[in-house]
Amino acid sequence: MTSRTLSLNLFKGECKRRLWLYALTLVVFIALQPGALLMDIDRWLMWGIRPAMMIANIKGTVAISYIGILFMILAVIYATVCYGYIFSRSRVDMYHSLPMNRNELFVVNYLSGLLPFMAIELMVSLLQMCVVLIKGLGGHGIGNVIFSTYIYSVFLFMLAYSITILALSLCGNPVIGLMLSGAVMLGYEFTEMIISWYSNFCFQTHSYISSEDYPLWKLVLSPSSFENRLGNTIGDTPVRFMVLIAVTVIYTLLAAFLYRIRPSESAGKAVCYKILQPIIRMPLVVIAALSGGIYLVFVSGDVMTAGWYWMLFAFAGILTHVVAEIVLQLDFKKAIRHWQQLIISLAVAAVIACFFLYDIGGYDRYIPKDNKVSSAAIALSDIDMDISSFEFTGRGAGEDIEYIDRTAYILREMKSENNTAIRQLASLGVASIDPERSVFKRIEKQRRQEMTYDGVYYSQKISSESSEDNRKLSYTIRYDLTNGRTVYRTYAASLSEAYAPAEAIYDSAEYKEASYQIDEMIGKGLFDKVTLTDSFYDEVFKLSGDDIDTFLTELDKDMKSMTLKRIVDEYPIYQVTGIMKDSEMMGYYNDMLYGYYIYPDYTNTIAFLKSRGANVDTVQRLAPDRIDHVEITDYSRANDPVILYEDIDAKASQQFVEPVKVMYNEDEDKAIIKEINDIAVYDHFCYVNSIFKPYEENLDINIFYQTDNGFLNSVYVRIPKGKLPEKVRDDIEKAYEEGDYANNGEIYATSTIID
Amino acid sequence: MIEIQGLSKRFDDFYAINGISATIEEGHVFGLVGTNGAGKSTLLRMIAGVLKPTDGQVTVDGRQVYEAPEVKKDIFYISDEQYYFANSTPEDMKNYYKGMYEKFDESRFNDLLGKFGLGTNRRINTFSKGMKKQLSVILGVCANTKYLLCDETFDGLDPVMRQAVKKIFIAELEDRAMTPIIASHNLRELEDICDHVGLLHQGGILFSKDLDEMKLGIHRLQCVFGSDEDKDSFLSGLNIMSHEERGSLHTVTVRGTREELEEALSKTHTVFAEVLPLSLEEIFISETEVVGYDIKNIIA
Repeated sequence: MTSRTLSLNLFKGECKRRLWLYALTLVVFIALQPGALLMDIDRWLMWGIRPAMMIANIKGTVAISYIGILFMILAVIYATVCYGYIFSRSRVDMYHSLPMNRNELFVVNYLSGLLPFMAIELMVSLLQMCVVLIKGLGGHGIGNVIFSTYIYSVFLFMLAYSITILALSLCGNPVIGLMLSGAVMLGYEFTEMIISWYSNFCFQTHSYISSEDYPLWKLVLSPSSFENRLGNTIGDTPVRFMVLIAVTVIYTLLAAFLYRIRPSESAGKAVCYKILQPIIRMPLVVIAALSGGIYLVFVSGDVMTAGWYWMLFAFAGILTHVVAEIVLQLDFKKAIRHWQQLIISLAVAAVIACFFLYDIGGYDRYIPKDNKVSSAAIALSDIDMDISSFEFTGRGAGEDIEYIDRTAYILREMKSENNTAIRQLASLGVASIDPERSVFKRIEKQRRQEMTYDGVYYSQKISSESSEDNRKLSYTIRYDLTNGRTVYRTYAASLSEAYAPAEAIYDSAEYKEASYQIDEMIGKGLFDKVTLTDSFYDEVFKLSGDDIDTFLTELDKDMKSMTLKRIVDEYPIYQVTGIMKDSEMMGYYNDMLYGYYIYPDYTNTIAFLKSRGANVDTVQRLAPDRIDHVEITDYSRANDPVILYEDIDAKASQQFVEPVKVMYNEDEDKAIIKEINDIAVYDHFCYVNSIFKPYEENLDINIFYQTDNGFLNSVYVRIPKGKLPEKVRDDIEKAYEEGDYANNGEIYATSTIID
Repeated sequence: MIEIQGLSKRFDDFYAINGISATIEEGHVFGLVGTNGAGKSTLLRMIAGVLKPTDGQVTVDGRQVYEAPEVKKDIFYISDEQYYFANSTPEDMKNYYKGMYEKFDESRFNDLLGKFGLGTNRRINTFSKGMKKQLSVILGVCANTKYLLCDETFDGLDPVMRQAVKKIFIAELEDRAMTPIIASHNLRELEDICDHVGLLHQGGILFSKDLDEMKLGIHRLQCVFGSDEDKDSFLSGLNIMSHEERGSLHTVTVRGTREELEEALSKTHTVFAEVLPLSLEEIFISETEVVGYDIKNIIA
């Protein structure tokens, strides 16, 4: 009997014994894949979705993304079933005394898990194809998607399978093996998450944008994120498959090697090699200590103190060490046997923690030297905040559109080699941060300020003069360094100081190109219609068909020639809305043009709209004869304290003051109503680039008007700072004197403890 | 032939087997005796190729065992806790081993199964401990391998079954020169089947000897001497292993052949003299006392 015959006999025997597992897999997969697809198709047919949309939906459904995690879980189960014998001494005796060597045993067990999975998944993929064909939706590349998904799923399964075998081969206990397997698959992700928590919490300039350039070497350390990350960076390309195959091969060979050298006597132990114990235990303690320390941030960040932090830090670290020790030694009495390793682990964790907590490395103050920067990009976060960024992926369910973070998109698309303005903003940003390095002291300072604010309600009397300008402009900078690294920082600097460099950046063609994606929408037939809405959300004009592309072309021209000064000086007159095809059928509203406005000097756009019969000359305001009355509520002096104090420990009685209300009726106050109406910025457009538009603060102004149906409706408006009519100021003062309070004239007083 | 040369096996900080050397001839029944923790199972597992030696080597017919499928084809290992697949029957296990061992004798298996009264399609997890042991022996014998390693196989068998198994072993020995290696902590069990015995203690082998040779080379004599001079002259000429005196009755354990002993007796005036048979246990005790071990504390 040759060794091949022996292997085959063993393979057949093992498969026979695992039929229950294969049957269960088949049932689950049929339900989740062709079963779910069939139900989806029936639902879409019922909705009457057009075929092109149907095809896109089917492709999205059969793609692996949402089911990839299931394959990985299944792989862990299969690996445990096929290789779990190594944890039992009697089973080890049986298998390892057979006339086979370890390599042959590895291959037999490996294939007895992999081949049935491949057969089941192939069957399921063919069933999916049958479902599609039966429903008359064959062709259109669906077969290619199903086939490529099949291949991809096999390798994704293999990757998780090999990793689990690798982890099991290092341990003598299935529980520890599975935990190690989880650590290998998720450990890097979790560590990155910890770093992200700390960065977010401790660094003032930390940006939530992580590098999208995901080095391939990271995939080896982070297999669980493989599918998602790799897909995001290089998309559906052959490279994606090749990288997955390469990483899978690496892990498989490593698993085979570890299995082969694994001592048979390891069955029943915690780990096979003593050296693994500190390798497992120490990083675990480091991560646990760091996690424990920052735990309070999630519960209540504003009570975080250095004392609490280090107490939780030590508690989590010690507890983890004790538990790990008990699990690895299988003996309660050895809970603190390796106390030296505990101290080392805590010390390492403390150093890491201090790096973040006290910004020892100067993270917040970092600006790379000019000669170290190959290119830079900046996203001015406060400008055009409502606009969405997207990508056409060909993978999304429905419209093949994936919305992505706007800041991330701009930073990715923009590459500026003229960094003068960017560096200026970077310097301003660094100068604007709190000089206090310790995060605990900053929290304490903030807590005192808030409590001070809570105890002291500063009077903000309305004034004709602008108060000190506290507005800050936010922006995120990306540096591409000459050493290949990419660095991000987010800043908030005084608007008055940052305006000039921000203007230079915004006005540049490269920024506009990165910021606005109108040109990408042209010629794709994305929209059923494009409408203009005014400040009252009323649709004033509609475009369809070929007019849409022409409109977008003109809009693109005007937007690309926009300047920051015009954004500061002007208010939009219309909002653009683009209803995508099949949006209503799908039951949700999808507007890729949300956040795009038309400004008064969009000459090209306005000329085109006029040529199509739109009346777009004037800013839409309420007709004065429709206005019933105006209500102005002033909150500027609400909670004005009797005593002004800064020390939060000092306590005094307070008397709360209600806001006052002033009303103007159409009958008696026609002139002032007209004046207010002429300068008011209506609700809809109040918030467009509002950072550049200071308004009169603490005034709640509502204009009540008659609708076409005879009902009384109201619209919220804001008055630009310094433009409030003098009469209104006087009337508000009078209201305070006479006690015309907003809430039915009730005044209430309360007192705190008086020292 | 199985040759063990300087074999050691370390588990973490201690040596389960430490520098053992021994030879197991083909066609003989080798008994491996020792207390719990002596290293019997470890030694057998190394011979079976399950464990990798730390030092030294174990060869079967001149070839190393570990990771050598060609060598392992000639070895069947019956573990002290033999594993059977969940919900399997003897039929399932037969099919499994038939696929692994080329010479597996299916008809003999069915025959033996019947003789032992074990149901072919009955679930093994309903068997008693003794029945499982019987099944493991049947599987091992029917695998038709040259060497059969049995780890405490006779434990758990009733006396009748024990005799039945012994008969099977003897028959296999005679038919095809099978070489069983039987590990046990019960010396009395091994006495009537083994022809070569090795004593393991704390990872070392105290001795390994042919049983007949052992029995022929050591005798016990009870005698009463005529005079002290007779006693002295008798004792001085012999290789005395132990000497016990109760009144005038002397009990002497002597190393040497029976002929040598009788010749010495003929030269001495004794009132009473009788050569007594020694059990294996008594031989062991005598042999090990010489080396300084109190064997009574070692063997059951």
